[in-house]
Amino acid sequence: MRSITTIVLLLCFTFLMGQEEERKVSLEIQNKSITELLSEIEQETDFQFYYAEQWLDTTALDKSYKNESVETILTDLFQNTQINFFITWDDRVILTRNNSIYGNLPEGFFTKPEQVETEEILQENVSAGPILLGKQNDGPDKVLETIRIGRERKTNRRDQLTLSGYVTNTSTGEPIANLAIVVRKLNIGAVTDNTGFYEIKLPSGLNVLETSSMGVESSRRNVIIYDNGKLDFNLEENFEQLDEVVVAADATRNVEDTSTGNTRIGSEASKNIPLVLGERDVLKIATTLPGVSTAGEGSAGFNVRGGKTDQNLILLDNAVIYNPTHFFGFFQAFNPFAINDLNIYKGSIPAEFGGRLSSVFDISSKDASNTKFKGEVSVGPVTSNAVVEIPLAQEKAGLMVGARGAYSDWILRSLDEENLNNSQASFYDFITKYNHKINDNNELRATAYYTRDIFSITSDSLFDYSNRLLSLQWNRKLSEKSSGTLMLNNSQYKFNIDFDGSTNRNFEQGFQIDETELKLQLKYLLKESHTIDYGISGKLYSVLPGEIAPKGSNDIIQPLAVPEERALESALFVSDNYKVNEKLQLDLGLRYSFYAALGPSTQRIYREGAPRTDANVAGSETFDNNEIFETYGGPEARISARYLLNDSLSIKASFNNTYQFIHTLSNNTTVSPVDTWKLSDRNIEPQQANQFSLGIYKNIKEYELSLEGFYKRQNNIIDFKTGAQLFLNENIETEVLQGKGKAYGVELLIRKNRGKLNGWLGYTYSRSFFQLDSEFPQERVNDGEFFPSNFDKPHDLSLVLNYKLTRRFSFSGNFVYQTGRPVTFPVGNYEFNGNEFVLYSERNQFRIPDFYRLDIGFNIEGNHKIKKFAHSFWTISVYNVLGRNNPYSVFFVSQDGEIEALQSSIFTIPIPSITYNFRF
Amino acid sequence: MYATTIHKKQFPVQCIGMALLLWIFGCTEPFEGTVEGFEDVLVVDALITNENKRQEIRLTRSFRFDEDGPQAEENANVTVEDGEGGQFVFDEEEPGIYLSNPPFSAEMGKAYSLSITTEDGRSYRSDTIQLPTASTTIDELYAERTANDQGEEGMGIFVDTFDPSRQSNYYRYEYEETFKIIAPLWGPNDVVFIIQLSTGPVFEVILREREERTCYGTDREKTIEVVNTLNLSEDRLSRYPVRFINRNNYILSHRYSILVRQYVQTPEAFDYYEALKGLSQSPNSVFTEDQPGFLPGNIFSVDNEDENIAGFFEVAAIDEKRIFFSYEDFFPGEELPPYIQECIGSPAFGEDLKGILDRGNSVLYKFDPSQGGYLMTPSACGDCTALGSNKVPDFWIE
Repeated sequence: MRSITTIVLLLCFTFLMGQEEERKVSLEIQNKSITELLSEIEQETDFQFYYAEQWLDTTALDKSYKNESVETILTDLFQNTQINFFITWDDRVILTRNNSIYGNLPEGFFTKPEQVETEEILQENVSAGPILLGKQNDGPDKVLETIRIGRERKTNRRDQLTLSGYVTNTSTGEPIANLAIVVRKLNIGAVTDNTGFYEIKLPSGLNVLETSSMGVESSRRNVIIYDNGKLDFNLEENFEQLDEVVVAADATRNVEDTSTGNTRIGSEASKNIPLVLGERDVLKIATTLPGVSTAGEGSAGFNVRGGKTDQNLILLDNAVIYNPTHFFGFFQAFNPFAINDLNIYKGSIPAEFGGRLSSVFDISSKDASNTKFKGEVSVGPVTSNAVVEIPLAQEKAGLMVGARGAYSDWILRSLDEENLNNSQASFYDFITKYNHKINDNNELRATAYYTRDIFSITSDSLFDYSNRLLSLQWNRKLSEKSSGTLMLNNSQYKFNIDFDGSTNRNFEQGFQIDETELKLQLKYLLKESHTIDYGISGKLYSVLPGEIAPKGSNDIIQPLAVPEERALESALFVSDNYKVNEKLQLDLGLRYSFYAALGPSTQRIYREGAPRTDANVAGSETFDNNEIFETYGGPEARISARYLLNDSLSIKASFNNTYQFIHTLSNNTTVSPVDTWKLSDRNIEPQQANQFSLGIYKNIKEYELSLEGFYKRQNNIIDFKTGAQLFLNENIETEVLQGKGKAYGVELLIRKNRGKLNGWLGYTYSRSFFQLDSEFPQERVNDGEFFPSNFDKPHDLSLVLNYKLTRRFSFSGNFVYQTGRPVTFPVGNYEFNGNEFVLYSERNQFRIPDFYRLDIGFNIEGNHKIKKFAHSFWTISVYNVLGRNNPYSVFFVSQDGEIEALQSSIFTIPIPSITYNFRF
Repeated sequence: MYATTIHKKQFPVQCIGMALLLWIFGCTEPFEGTVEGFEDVLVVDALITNENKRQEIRLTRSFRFDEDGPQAEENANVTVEDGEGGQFVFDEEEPGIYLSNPPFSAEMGKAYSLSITTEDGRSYRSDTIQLPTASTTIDELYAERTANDQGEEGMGIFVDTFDPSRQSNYYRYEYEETFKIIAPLWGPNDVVFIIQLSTGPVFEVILREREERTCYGTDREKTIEVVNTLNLSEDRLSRYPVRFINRNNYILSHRYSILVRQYVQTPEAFDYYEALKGLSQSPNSVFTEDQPGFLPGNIFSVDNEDENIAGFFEVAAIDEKRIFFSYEDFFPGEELPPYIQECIGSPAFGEDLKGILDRGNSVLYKFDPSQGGYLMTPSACGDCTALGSNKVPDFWIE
């Protein structure tokens, strides 16, 4: 195998230096494994050991050493094993199996560095044959590889050198994205982009480069660097490692990244979180992170930093997805096996994104392997899903196809509950992605995606909603320094309600939104310290706000179609990632958004100084096809800065400013599949937000800590009058109230990424307020004062933990606590028109009881025979172990003149599930 | 502060079934928390119509959950102005009930407004409001044997109305139903307790002094019934279902009459009623929930902007119609609906009988020494005045 052609190169003088200061150690151990012994040496001395745990015998030892050199101890320990060791100049001890590393090189291999004067040798990638003792082993073990780049020159010593290259998968030849390349000791790191490219700044001399990513073998290499250079990595896939690192948190990303409030979730991360009904879900994980919360259990939509649920831009391969959930939010609408990762931006949103106020959820799907046929299958109690990767052209093109479906209808039918027997609930989704590497400079990706949900709650109505998405992406390397991406995306969301029950009032009604976007994004490496991203995008919206038609000839429903709405949203954006110096890095982004509402349209004009009601219409104006009848827009600043206080501590600050031209019409707290979207027009203004964040980030050993604060102001947020009639309303502005929003909070995240026990703790204290004020009492809520928004939940705590019992068994647990959300409660009764009614308090004056829930899960991996056809694992989980009856909402009904307080909840008992997964 | 805890019966089985069943239906059960707080506000119930009569305005206060009903807002000055200098003064005839003096009817083109000054000197005014249409008519009010959307069989009461001028659009319906009740276990006699002797209580059978066999029960709508014709091709409602009575409802047993009132409302009043209806109804699923809140009407405090006033001042056009039908008309030869409760006569004597009489919820069915003496039956079975009035209503037609 190619990777076994190991290169070992070390400079002799450094090695000798190390030996001069041989230190003595005294150790007394009883009943301890070699691993534990080695870590004791690490604690006692400066030595650090590098080895693979599985090489070492786990039997307990009793040993005693008095004032022995480490070398002696190790010789003794490994005398009857296959383990060799090598001590580097900087007290690293590298253990190898079978192979031994020699510090000495054949004579004359190098000219003495001291003698080199002005000779210019650039980007030299020296390699030499292995100097190995013993027979080469074809097994998966790796020995430490040393790579030398450039030569040391006295005259041209630079402190910072750039190493770049591509990381590819050995077996498939595909690029590996989001792979962290780090120098642990110095806390420097880089992450590969979608093309597998990375660039890292290294100090000259010896660096130990480590790579880590989910599903890819970890590797470690010595790199002796004296000049800028290139280094490509070929890495194997590694299934065994999957559950060892739960969240692919890049060791230094926390500290070094310029922006605030960003998180990446790899699809694999979701594997170890207890599941509801056996489904992996990256969106669920997102809600365990500080600053992101759901409106309720099993509800679609997220509230990010005090923002409404319609303020999140959810992208799948660059295209917008309007309803990312199935079954009202109980399942994500993505095939978990088809997802590569999810990046969440809740603080500083990159300038390339726009159109939503609060966050960006950027989801990318997996590239298919172009060398090997692969697949993944999961079978659960309610859903099953499968993904296959088909190589179409060797090392060039691959096709990924995924399908997923729910078969819950049989559960509904088999229940005794009579009113549920007639119910129906099913969904499916389908995804396919084609990736083609045309040549070294051109790459093409195409994604098609479709989801559909069909359900009926009562026997007379059938609901049906679907997402459709198409995305095309062409990446082209334009020159050494610049590259570009051209994207064409189309998304559609629609729903339909079929009502068939009454004698003559049956109907069909529907809603549909379509958008098509063309976006060009370019990247230019201006200088070492400036990376410029810029581009342009244009998006055309078409909304069919609603139509209703009689079902049969007897039905007297008058067909009505609220006229189509159209608009163009475009943007220019530029951002500069500017490295001022080693410590200070800036990300200066500017976006100019421009929105034009297009005809044909008829816009009402309301009397000035009067509330917006049907009675106060002064007239209306009609516009022709494609006539621009209203424009909005403005500059959006996306600025962030990072200052490194030391290698593992940084502070960051950002300012973010966003516009949103499209709004959901929903008087629910949560996202409902029958929510419609409305484009800004003459009478509905765009929403706007400004956000400041400040954070401090610290890495301590395997712990990652971050503390971020934010303050956000919003304008023209959309709310509705009490009991508003939203659907099929041609003049929605008579029901809409636009007001101000104010939110602030502090978010704490502690993550442990390695070790038997890993996971994270997220805690948020935040507040969110709305203000709906007007000169007219009817358009005022709570006397025009700020009041807590529907999702103002001051305390929000999530704890996610995994404990790996053995290589095959692991436990996971997940605990969530949230302050109950604000509600409006009755404060008395009154009599009106001969009936008794409830008098409600001011809006959101009270709260429902606090929410908490504990879920546990247990994963059993199949065995790890190398030649086994498929790798399998079982997941057993129990959702809501405590059986907590968390009220989802509390409401009051007056029945026969009596007031009754009711609460609705979703899962009131523990829900067990078991899922079988395998991949090949 | 005031606290009340509302407890109701549990439905655990249903909840488990639903949870297993995935969510959609969620699970609705009584709220176990505590609801606190009470707000004392003025409630104005003012409806002026185009009918020439002493128009009525009711002023009350909001009341706590554990109170039976509202307190009247007494001794207020209530006037309605018509925007053209006309003023109608309302006199308090009963506590909280103010009637116009003299009678008047709302007229087209006039902008009416209400002003109130309460006993403690606070002043309130309403928005101005106009009569939406000069008149409205129920073209047809009829009853049919039918099935409702849930498939239950029974009697439907339907309305047809049509406004060719397309002026009406917003309709609200009220009804008042009256039905004949015949007590199934009525007997001509009653039993009364005379004296307690050492041997036990002594009773006497007497002749009943009043009509207790045939009565007339009355009821009215419990929900707000509003409908608009905006989405229809014409300003027409045909076969609009105002009321549905399940065929097993005892009120259908003999003869039934319903008076339906049709109001044509202003858009503002319609919105108010619709919102009020939305707030007082149970949501049809977990996912469609109305945002509750204080529902402001069109009456405001002159002195204090922040004061909440419940209720509405409405000017509407009205028409009403009444129909009668008998069970035999639609269910000839079929079995009568079951009575409101099961009726049996059970024997009682001595101290037991005295106890029953003291509780006052039973009457004598018959005195039959062969069956052990006094056969007692629940009041509703033997005395129809427990359910209605024994006076034949003035409008009643057999």
